[in-house]
Amino acid sequence: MRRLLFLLCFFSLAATAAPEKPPTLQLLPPTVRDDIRVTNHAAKAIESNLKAIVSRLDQQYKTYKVARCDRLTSDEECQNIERNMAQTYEELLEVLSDELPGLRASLTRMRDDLANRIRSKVGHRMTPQELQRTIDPEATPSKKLRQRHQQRGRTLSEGVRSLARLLPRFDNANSSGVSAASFYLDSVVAIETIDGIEAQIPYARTQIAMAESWGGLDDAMLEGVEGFTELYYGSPETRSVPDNYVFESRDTTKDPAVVELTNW
Amino acid sequence: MKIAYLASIAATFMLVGCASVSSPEKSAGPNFQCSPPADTRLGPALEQARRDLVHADCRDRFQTYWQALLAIGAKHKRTENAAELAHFVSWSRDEGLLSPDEAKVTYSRYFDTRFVTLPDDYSVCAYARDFSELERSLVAELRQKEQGLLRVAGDKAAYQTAFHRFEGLMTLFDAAHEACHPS
Repeated sequence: MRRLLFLLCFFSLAATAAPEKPPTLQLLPPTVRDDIRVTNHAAKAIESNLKAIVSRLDQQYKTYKVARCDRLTSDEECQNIERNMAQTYEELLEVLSDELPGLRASLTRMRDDLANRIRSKVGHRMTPQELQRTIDPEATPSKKLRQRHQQRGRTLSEGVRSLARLLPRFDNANSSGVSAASFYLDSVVAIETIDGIEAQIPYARTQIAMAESWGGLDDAMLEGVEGFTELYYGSPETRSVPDNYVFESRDTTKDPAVVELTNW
Repeated sequence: MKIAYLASIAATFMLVGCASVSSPEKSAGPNFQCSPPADTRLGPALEQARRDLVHADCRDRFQTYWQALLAIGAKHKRTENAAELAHFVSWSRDEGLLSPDEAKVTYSRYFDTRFVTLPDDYSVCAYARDFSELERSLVAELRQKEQGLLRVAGDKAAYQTAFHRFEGLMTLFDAAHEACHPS
């Protein structure tokens, strides 16, 4: 009896001493974590293949610019450089054609699994006020607030750049509901971006064929080449949240009037 | 006998006089001007607000006074402003100017890191078809918290918490909008 009382006292003290944490929203079960791992693996494979090709394209483009080939269209050396660039560009399109369907498939599985979880755990089960209680602002990743409009690349290289920015986000799966929601939204945008890229590939192939037939790269294709060479050298995204807030700890919660008015 | 009679009449008049003197604020003075405080210091402004709001003519002007007090608090931001304004809201509730729920909402909009405007009736998917109204109210409340937490109380950490909570909510609502009604 005494031991039971002791245990009861111990556990009640432990419960009162432990800081109150919001209930966690489990949106990342093992199946979804597997989807994320597969997606991440596919994304890294594409990235490493693309980097090697883009690096070669970058060198060729620099040589093209240094030799002022945009002005010397009939120069034999320039024509060689252009042929090499067209061939490298074709290789890049091959990689995208071969690898993107697999990436799309794993992203689609992840998107659909997460959509089901969000609908069942959040959408049909919680009110907006209840959902707020699951958010731990200390654990919310401080990253750029997702743009409300979809980020679709207008050109092939812009699309690939958008995708290259999105894919690293799938590398850090923590258990918070907000993280899972971010993954879900990023997967929706990534799939739309891949659709855009795949729609552009036939057009890009036509440009290469035309360049080979008529000799010389046209402006649109040069723009595409330039876009790809900026792929890994572009400027970082700017945060939409101002960074000038300092974490000073000020305790205003001990006043009884404040405690009473914020107890809801 | 006569003295006792006169003393009782005098006592009656005194009591009636005291009753009218002790609660002049309850009488509807037609000429009373309900002007929000213009003092630049919060302490005197709160005192004036308390004096004015007990008048019958001013009892429905709480929001005007509240906005004026926030503006005054922002001129000299300090942590203590939040507690002083909390006491004022509590007093207003005790005086019957606000219901208990109104008092919590009024204060929390500006000084709590949580969002009170979120509905608690229907599920998230029920709102998912059009989150614009929800988003508008969240953004409006975030601006109120910026005014209260940041400009009146100078509490950057608390505002940062509110902002992160806002970010998290927007991400979750975006996800629910997409999941509940995929485009």
